[in-house]
Amino acid sequence: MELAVETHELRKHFGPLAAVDGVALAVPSGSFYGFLGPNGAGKSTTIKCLTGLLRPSGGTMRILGIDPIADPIAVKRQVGVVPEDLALFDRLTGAETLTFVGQVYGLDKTAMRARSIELLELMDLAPAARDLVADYSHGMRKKLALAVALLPAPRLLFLDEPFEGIDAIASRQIKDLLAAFVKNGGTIFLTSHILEIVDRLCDHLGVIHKGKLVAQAPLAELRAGVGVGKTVEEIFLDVVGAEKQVAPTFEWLRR
Amino acid sequence: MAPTLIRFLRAFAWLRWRLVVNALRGGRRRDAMESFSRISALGIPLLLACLIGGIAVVLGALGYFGGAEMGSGSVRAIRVMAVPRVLLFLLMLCMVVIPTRRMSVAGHARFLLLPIPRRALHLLELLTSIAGPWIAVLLPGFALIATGLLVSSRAGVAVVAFAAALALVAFLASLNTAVASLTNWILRNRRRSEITALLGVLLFTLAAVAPNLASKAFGKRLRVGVDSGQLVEGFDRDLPEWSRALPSELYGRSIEHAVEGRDMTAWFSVALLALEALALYSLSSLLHTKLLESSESSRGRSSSVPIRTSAFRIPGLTNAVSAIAIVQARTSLRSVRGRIAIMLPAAVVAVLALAARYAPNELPAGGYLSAHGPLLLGCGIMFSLFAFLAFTMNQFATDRAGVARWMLAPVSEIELVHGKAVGCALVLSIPVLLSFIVALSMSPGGTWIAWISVLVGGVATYLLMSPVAVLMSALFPVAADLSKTGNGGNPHGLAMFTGMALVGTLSSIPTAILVIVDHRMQRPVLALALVVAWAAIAFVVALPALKMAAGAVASRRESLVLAARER
Repeated sequence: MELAVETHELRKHFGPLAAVDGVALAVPSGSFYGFLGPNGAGKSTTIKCLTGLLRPSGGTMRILGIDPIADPIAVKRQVGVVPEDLALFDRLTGAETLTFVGQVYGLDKTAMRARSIELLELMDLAPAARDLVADYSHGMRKKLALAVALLPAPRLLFLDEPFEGIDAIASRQIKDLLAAFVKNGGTIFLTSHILEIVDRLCDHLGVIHKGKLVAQAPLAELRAGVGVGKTVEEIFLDVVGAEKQVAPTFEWLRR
Repeated sequence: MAPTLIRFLRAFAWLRWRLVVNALRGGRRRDAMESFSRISALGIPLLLACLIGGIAVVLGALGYFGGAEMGSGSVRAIRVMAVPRVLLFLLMLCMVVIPTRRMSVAGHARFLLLPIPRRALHLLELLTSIAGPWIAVLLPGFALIATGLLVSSRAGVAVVAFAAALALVAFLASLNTAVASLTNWILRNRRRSEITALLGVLLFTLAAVAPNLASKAFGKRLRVGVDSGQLVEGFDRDLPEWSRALPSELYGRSIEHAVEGRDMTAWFSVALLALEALALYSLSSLLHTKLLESSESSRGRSSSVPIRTSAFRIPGLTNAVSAIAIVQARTSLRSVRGRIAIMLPAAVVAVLALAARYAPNELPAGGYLSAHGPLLLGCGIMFSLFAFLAFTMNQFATDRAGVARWMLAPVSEIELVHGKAVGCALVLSIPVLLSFIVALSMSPGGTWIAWISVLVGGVATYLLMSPVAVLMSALFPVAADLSKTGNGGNPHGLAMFTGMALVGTLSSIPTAILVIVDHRMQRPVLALALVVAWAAIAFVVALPALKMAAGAVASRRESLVLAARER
């Protein structure tokens, strides 16, 4: 099986805190991989290490068969990212942002123009294409960041909470777009707290908890392990052991 | 109401204390370099705190001895009361022009969500402003004037001084709160705030000639040979009638009248001052309510024009370097700091040219400046380099979230550094061109060779400065907000200081060549040749130095991303 993302003993320490602790990811090419974990589990840190925003403290990584530490440019040419903070320039317009990305990736003018217009229209950003990003709402920024990630037609997409703050109509369009991306051979590595979306879109699942990868398998396999008909939410809660915890009663909240 | 207010005050004081302590402690994701950067950035605030503390002690001592002197009937001491009156008036002006960047409760939605009445929030703002540096520095002075009077057995006068001080502090606190509310209300809208900041800074610069004119008028009196007491009295006499209603005047005159035994007049001044404080309190309350009720909006116009994607590439550069340079130029030009940096140097050159023409003796080398346009252009280039330190000395973190985009894009560090250098140069060329036009039109003297020599000297300075600028930007990144004109938009103190020192040092070499060879030896062609040679050396040095600086960027990638996100 060809792997789009492969890590061995990936570690990232912030002082004494091990945010990512010996993670061994295996994301098959052409898969829609959902990467789940409770808050502070290390999802965003893992994505940052994989995309070169953070330098791992240890371990090895291969993205599309390339070592990103040894040849970061080669990896970046084939990867699109929607990071946690979206990484947009406030004082560029939406259209200028796409132009900039197109130029950096060396797209020819015709392709750049055609793709930009198509993406802006798909994301419903065309009327605001000449407004500064500083004037965009959170949802508009998110859609622009996704357009930026898709523009160079990458082979692999890293999406950190791409549906957060997106309205239902755009969310539907984006889901269709991402599904088509995978159908055409692309790979998606997605983190999301909206487990229904993960349930509907992903075919592979990885769960990180307290910096350690506690589960990783095709979704169907995980379902079979936990019980047929179980949802991703139930699988997730089961894997991180949340269901074993006793719910507090909060007597003082009673009227 | 009082216990509730005390509870709020205590909570608010604790909150401010924790914010200060946590800001010093910083996040856990810091390497040694960032820890150093964070600690060294505290140098300037610490220095300011010491300075303010020192001023408060001096004012306290002056207040005590002044009060004691006045109490013992010293006419000279009473005359000198005009000085604190003028200083207080200047302080009020400063409060209006430079509102303090204190934490406003209205700026934090959390406060508005808590069960605190709005009137209490306003009162809280008012009390917080008393703890701010503008007012806190005066409190020992006010208190010790009254104490000095009391010590010299003038209890009645001391009571007047104390009451007047209370009324004045209430007035100042209301003024501070009113200005802060108005400023915050303006800042609620991005476009409105940017336009206001731009206009404010330009007017402030053009008003820079006012002290020059004032000093001329004051200096004339000094030259006539009057003693300081008479000088103060004369100055006092010349004040227009309306100025007597100013709070600073009411405060000073109420004490003077009380010392002179005119109790009724003294208390009338105090009452008038209290009335003014009350009126301003009501106004600040209105402004505060307006601020709380206004919604935060940063949305601009929405254009329904067709999408246009212009893919202009700077000739001679690779796609990536050109794209980086264009983004750097665009983002700089669209920020308040960028617009100010573009307009300010030419405005300053114009003011200099005017001052040199109409008051040549008031400026060093004023006569020479008015006749030599190239010298004015040189000043314009230096001002431009100084004005752009906010960009050149903090090249990465000023992109804020955009820094991560550089790191995610398939560009090498050397491409990034080259692109940034070209982008900064592109933007810098605008104020230099504007300064050139102003200098040429206001002071067309000087040979064309001299004009070219000055321009080439400026290029050499920028070339040599670039690698150091990249290095400082990589070592000391600060998530500066370039829509701010104050400290919020400044680079790290060390980077700023290095930049200023660099501009001064590096521009001294072409300046020395031009002064000695062009001006003294009268050999302009040789001067041009030497400056061109200097620029060539700068170019040869800058290229490998930029490559080395790019290495520093590579090793600081992670810190840059974290610092730019203020983490």
